[in-house]
Amino acid sequence: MNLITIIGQVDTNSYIIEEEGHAIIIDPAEAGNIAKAIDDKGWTPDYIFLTHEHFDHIGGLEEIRNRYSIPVVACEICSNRIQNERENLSRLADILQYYKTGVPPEESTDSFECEAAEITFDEDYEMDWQGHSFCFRCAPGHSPASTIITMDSSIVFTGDYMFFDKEETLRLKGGSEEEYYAKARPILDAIPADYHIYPGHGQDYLKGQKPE
Amino acid sequence: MTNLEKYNYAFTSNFKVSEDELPGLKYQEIFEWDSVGHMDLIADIEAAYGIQMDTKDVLDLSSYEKGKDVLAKYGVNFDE
Repeated sequence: MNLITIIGQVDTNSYIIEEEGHAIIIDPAEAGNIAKAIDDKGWTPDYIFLTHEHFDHIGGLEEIRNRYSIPVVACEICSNRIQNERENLSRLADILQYYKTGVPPEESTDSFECEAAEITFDEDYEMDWQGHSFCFRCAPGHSPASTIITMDSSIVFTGDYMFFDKEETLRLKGGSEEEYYAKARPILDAIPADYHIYPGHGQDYLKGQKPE
Repeated sequence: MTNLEKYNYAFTSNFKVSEDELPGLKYQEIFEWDSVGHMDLIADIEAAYGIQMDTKDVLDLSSYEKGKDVLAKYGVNFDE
């Protein structure tokens, strides 16, 4: 198995999992480098998985799904919110970039909306692919659509939870500290220390190595 | 709701302040009105009036009073 990290806009991590020449893309932030990596290696993409609805995780979604004609797997709330420029936060993406970089945008960037996901679920979802098992669990807090994706018994894609060296943001539109502690936090706390964490931003790490 | 009531509600609901505290309120003067809070404020203002503000205007909306001037450019009348 190969697991590749592609860094996109707002330093978002997109991940490509490859097995037997087939691939899954998690959070296609930008299409260009993802497509190049896949095409250069001659892999066949099968699915796109989404950890949540925010623009920096779906900026390349439409281009990638159309290029390869592959289904998107996301929770129902995520599927709904990627279709709305305000709920996917792309409407204010340039403002967020400005606050992050300090460089004023020369002109407003285009907001965008995506099509609904082809495979959706309400709370949990499990699927097998190329000898691997995936478990999706809804974990609202950072956003209403936040989802934690566990692969086999060793890897977790946490989206915008569990960054190695900074706290999660719960204050973005749709975020909820109450839901985070009620739903997301118990799931995150239950991840074993020897699981490998692949967050939506920053470095990956073994859970047990995360600084206190 | 009048336009002024909508405008005030965008502030009071996002920043947990009373209407009495709105005059003179400035960006980054309170914890809640930071960059994240500002995006929430703008999102609610845009939704309240059905407008889409230019990036420059979003950044110019740096105080309660300045916001009224900015919104006047989008036809929001606070005297109605």
